[in-house]
This record gives sequence, structure tokens and C-alpha cells, in this order.
Amino acid sequence: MIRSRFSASSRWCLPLLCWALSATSATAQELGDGLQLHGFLSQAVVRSSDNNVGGDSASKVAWDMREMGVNMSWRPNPDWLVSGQALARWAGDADDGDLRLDYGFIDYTFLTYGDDRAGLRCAWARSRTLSASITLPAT
Amino acid sequence: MGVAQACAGGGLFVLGLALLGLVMAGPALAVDIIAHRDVSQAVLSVASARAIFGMRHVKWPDGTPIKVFVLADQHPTHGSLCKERLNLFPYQLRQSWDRLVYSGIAQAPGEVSSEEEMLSRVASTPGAIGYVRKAKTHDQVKILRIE
Repeated sequence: MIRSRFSASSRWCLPLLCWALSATSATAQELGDGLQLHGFLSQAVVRSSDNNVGGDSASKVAWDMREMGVNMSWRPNPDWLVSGQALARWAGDADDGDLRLDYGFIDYTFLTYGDDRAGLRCAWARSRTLSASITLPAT
Repeated sequence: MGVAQACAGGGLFVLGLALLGLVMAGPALAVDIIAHRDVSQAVLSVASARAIFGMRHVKWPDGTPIKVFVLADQHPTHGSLCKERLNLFPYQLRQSWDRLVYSGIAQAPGEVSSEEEMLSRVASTPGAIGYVRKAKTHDQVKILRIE
């Protein structure tokens, strides 16, 4: 299964911004056995009147912000979901395209009642902290 | 024929065309929700159907994994499913899938390219659920009632 999506939105806004555009494309691939691979690519195109954002946007069209992500998930059975996303981001001095783990989840559902479920989710987040949370009825 | 008569005739003609259009458009397109024959449930609530097609509900009451199959967002039958059965628009379902997938808390549904493929995949995959414009009684699938 391959799917692509194309959308444009102004994600980076400044009061005096002339125009900003971000094109995003996402695709998905079914690998079988409960394994799925998804990815996205996002490119910002910014032109502003006074202040620079995402590059030298006040004097020319800036193409310096982009983001690329690969997302994988594996559901070995209905009660377990292992998922994670690797992200590379380019944004001025803050991000130079280094690949990093955006997040990693291990989710276990121990109780399902009708459309509600309760479970435990262990998460590795961007801040390199490990956390565990209990998911309560989510419909 | 006088001018008044001509106008009345024209009005009647337009009215007739409008009525004909209504008759030809007929009732809203019906879509049947189908499942693998071994699925034990026969009836789904709208809330359950939304949770299943929204990828938030992943197993049947007997524990069998639910395998969701969908048609492309632009497919008319997919539009009918969303609007007539789930009370949603296709873009809302797509936004919800994208949000869940890219935040790592659910998986995307399997996409098939035609209603024929939908029927054969649902018939051959245990725990599968999908939909077709009009299921025939001899199809190798079960039709779920939505209440």
C-alpha cells in the first residue's frame, strides 16, 4: 500500500510575514506481519517583509527549513504496539539535519471493555527521558 | 400560443426536469459493512464502527485482531461509508489516521484498490472488516448491521 498526501499550510507565521508555505508529503508501506512503515518530508518556503525566519527570508525566498521522518510500528498482537520515529530536521543553527530518535513507544493494553481500554505505555521521548504512563479509557 | 402560456409551459417543463432529476438521483447510495465470516459479531453501534474504522479499536470481543481494509479516500464508496455509516467526512478519518500514526499510537488501515479486492481480502483474512457498495448474499463475507 502506498499513499501520498500533499498539503500546504502556513506553519511558520510572523505578523509581518508576506507569505510562507510548507509542503508536506507522507507515504505509507505495509510490510506484513503487523509491521508498517510510514514516512514524511516537509519543506518550508518562506518570504517575509521584515524579520528573518527559516533563513534569509526578509531579502529572498528562504528554503532552509525542512524535516524528514521515518516512522515504524509493529503490532504483534492486538494488545501490544511497538512504535518509533526517526527524525532529521534542518532549521538554521538549531537543527542541522542530524538523525535522532523522535520517540519510541511500547504500549500494552491490559484491559479492554467495550470501546474503552486501559493500558501501560513506556516512552522514550526527544528529551532522552524514559517515562511510563497509564492509558485510561480512550474511545 | 400567448406569451403567458409560453411562460407557464416553460415553468412546467423546468419543474418536470427537476422532478425527473430527483427520481433519477434516487435514495442515498447504500454501503454495506462486511466482515470475515468467522467474526462473531452481527451488529455494530455507530460508535464502535467509528472506533474500528478510526483504528482505535483493534480487537473483536473474542480477542481476534481486527484487520481494517479501506478504499482510497477519493473512492465514492469510501465517501458513502464515511457520510452514511460513520457520520464523518473522509478527510476527518484521514486526519485522524495521520495523527495516530505519526504520534505512534495506532497503525493505519490496509488500503485496497477496488471493491473486488475488498471482497476477496475481507473473505480471506480472519478478523477482517471492510465495506462494499452492495454486498450480495452469495458473497463469502458476513454483512454487519449498524445500529
